[in-house]
Amino acid sequence: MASSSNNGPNEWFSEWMKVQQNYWESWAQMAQKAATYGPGTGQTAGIPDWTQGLDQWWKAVGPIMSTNQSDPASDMMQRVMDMSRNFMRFAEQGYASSQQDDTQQFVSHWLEGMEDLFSGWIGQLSGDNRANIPDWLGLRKNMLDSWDHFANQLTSGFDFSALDMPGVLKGKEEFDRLLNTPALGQWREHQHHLQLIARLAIEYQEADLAYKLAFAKVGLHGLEELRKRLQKMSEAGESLENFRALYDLWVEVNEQVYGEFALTDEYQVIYGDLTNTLMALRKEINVLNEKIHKAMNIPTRSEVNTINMRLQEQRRETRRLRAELDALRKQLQPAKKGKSGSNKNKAKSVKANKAKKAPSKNDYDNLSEIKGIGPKMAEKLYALGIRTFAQIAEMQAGELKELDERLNANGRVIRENWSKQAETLLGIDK
Amino acid sequence: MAPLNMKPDDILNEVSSFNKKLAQGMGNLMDIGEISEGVTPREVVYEEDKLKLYRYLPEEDSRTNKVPLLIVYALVNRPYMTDLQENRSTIRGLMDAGQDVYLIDWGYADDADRYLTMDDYINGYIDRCVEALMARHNTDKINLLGICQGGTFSLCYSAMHPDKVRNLVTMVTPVDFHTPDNILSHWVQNVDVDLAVDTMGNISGDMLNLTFLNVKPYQLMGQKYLGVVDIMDNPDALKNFMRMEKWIFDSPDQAGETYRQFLKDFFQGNKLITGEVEIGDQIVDLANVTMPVLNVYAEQDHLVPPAASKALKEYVGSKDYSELSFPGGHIGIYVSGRAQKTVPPEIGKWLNAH
Repeated sequence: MASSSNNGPNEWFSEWMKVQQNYWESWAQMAQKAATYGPGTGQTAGIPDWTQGLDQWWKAVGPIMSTNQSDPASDMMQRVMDMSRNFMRFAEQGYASSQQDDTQQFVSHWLEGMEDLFSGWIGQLSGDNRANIPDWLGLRKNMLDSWDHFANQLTSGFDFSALDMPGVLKGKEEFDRLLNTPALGQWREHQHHLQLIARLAIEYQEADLAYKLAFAKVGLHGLEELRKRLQKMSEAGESLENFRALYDLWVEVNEQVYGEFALTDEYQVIYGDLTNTLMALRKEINVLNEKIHKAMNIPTRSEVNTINMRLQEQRRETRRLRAELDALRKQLQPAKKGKSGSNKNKAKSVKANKAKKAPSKNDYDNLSEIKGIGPKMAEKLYALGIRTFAQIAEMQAGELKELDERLNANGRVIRENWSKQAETLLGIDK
Repeated sequence: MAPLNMKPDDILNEVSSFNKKLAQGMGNLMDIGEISEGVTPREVVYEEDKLKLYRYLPEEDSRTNKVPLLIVYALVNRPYMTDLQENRSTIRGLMDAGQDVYLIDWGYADDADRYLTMDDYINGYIDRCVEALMARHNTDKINLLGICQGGTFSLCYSAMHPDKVRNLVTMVTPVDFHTPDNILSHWVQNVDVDLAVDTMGNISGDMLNLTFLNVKPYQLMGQKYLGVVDIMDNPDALKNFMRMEKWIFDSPDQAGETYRQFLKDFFQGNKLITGEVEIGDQIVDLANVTMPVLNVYAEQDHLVPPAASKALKEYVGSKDYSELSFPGGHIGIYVSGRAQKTVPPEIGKWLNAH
C-alpha cells in the first residue's frame, strides 16, 4: 500500500476497489452474524465492533487517498472520519441495547453515561489535573484540539522541559515558592527571565483549564436540556426514528446552551484571559529568543520590524511627494502652454483638460498648501476660477459656504478654515 | 422517558447505509479534481503590492450601467466566495443585472505588511483603485459595494471621499459593534489588543478562523462533517461542499496595525457611530455619507447580527437610504440558491435606478 504514491491512477484505483470489496464482504459477514443474535434468539451479541471495522478500512484506504489528494480534501476527510468513528461508536452501543429490546432504556443509559463522562471531566479539571477530555462526537478533536494546536505552535520556540516544570499543576504552591526564590549570581538576569516565563506558562495553563472547564459545564448543561426536550417529546407522543435524529437534537440543544453562555460576562472574562495569557507568554518567549539570536549574530524580529516600519513610513512619504509633484506639474501646464504651445501631455487625462479651461492668467498659487486641499480639490478650485490664496482669503462667510456647496466638500471649507489658512500663507509670502 | 423508536434491523440499516455512503463518498472525493478560486473570467487592470484589481469580463456586453461598480471585500477570508461556482456567483448576478464589476483582491498579508494601517488600506489602496477606475471610465464618481469588514472600510471611504462615490452598497456590514447579540464583539471586549499585536505582529488567519467557527462550534466543527456523508454519493453536491470547505479554511493573516485599530476603535470602542474614528489625519463622520445608500443584511447572520448593520440608518447623512434583507446567513447571502435569484438582481436594479 505504501508504494501507491508512485503508481499511476489505474493502479491506485484497482487497489481502492480491492479494499472496498474486502470491506463490503466483512460488512456482509457482520450483518449476518448480527442476524443470528438479537431478540427472540435468546442470544446477545454484546457490543459489535463496527468502529474497528471502519478504522481498519480507513487504515487501508487512507494512504491511497492522501497521496491523491490536496490538503483541504485530506483535512476534510480526516474530520469526516473522526465524526464517522464517533457516530459508529454511538450506534454500536445502541445496537447492543436494541438486541435486548430496550432502545427506550438506551437513551436513558446513554444520557447517564454522558453525564458521568462530563462530571468526571469537570472533576478532573477542578482537581488541578491535565484531564482527559472525552472525545465524544467531535467535542474534543475538532473544537478544543484546534486551539491547543494553535497555542502549541505559538510556544513551540521554547523548550519547557528546560524549566523542569511539572507537567501538571499539582503541587503548584511548591512550584510557586520555587519560582519566587531570588535568582543569584552571574546568570541572575537570565534565570530571572526563565522564572518569569514559567510563571506566565502557569497562568496560561490556568486560563486554559478554566476555558475547558467552562466548556465541560456547558456540555453538562446541554445534557440536562436534552433530557427535558426528550421528556417533552415523549409527553407529546413524538419519537426519534434514528440515531442521527438524536445526534442532531443534541447538537441543536448544545448550540443553544452554548450560545447563551457565550454572551455572559463570565465567558467574556474566560475568553479574554485565555488570549491574554497566551500572548503574554509568547511575548516573553520572543524576548528570550531575541537574546539568543542576538548572541548568535542573527538578525532579530524587532530589527526587521524597525526596518519594516521605516520602510512603510518612507513609502507613505514618497506617495505624498509624488502626488504633490503631479499637482504642481498640472498647475504648470496651462502656463507652459501659453508660452511655448507645446502639447506633449495633450489629453492625457480629463483632469488636465479641466485645468486647461481655467483662465490662463499666470498668477497661480499652489492651493494644496492649504491643509485639507489635495491635488484633486485644487483642480476643482482652479476650474471654478479660484487660483490664488488672496481670492480665498477675501471670501466672506456666505461666499465660503457657497464655495463649499459648489465643491461638494461637506463643510470642510469652513471646518478646516481655508480662508484663515490662506491669510496665514499670504502673511508668510509678504 | 426516551422516545427512541428503533429495532436492531433499523440500526443495522442505518449504519450500513451510512457506511455505504461514506465509502462511496471517499471514492468521489478522489475524483473531485482541482477546486478553482472563482469561475467568472476576469483580468487584472491595476496592481500594487499584493493587491490586484480585477475586472470581470462578460461573455457578451451586458454592461448597461456605465458607472463602474467596485467591490471591496473584507481582509478576512478570500473574495472568491462571491464567485464560487457558475450557478452561485454574486458577481455573475451583478453582471447579469447590467453592472460593470470590479473587485479588489487583497492577497495574503505577510510580516512585511504588518505596519499597513487602515489609512494605508482606505486612503491608500482603495483610493488608488477608485482613481484608477475613474481614469479608465473617464468619470469622477464610481459605485462602491463593500462586504462585511470591507463594508465598514467602504463606509469610512465614502465618509472621507463623498465626492468620488455615486452610490454606496453595504452588505452584511457591521456599523454598531455593541448590539447585545453580537457574540464576536462580546468576546473581544476583554482582549488586550495591544499585547496581541505587539506580540504577534500580524494576527493569524487560523486564529481568526477558529474564533468564527467557535460561534457555532457544535455545528461548524462537528455536525457538518457527519452531515456531509449524506451527500457524499452525489459528486456535484460534494464538490460544492468542498468549494465552501476550501474557502472557509483559506484565511489570510490580518495586517497587525489595521487589526489593532479595527479591534480597538470599532469592536471595543464602537467609535464609528460616535464619529470618533480617526483615519490618517481625518475624522470619519458618517454624516458625510450623503450619496444614496443601499444597506443589505442577512436575517440569520450569526457573525454580523442584523441590528449591527441596520444601525446605519441612524447615522448616515444620506436622504436616500434603503435596506434589503435576505432570509439567510452571513455566507448564504452570497452562495445559496435562493440568494442568487433575489440579492444581486435587486442590487443591480437599485444601482441602475440611481
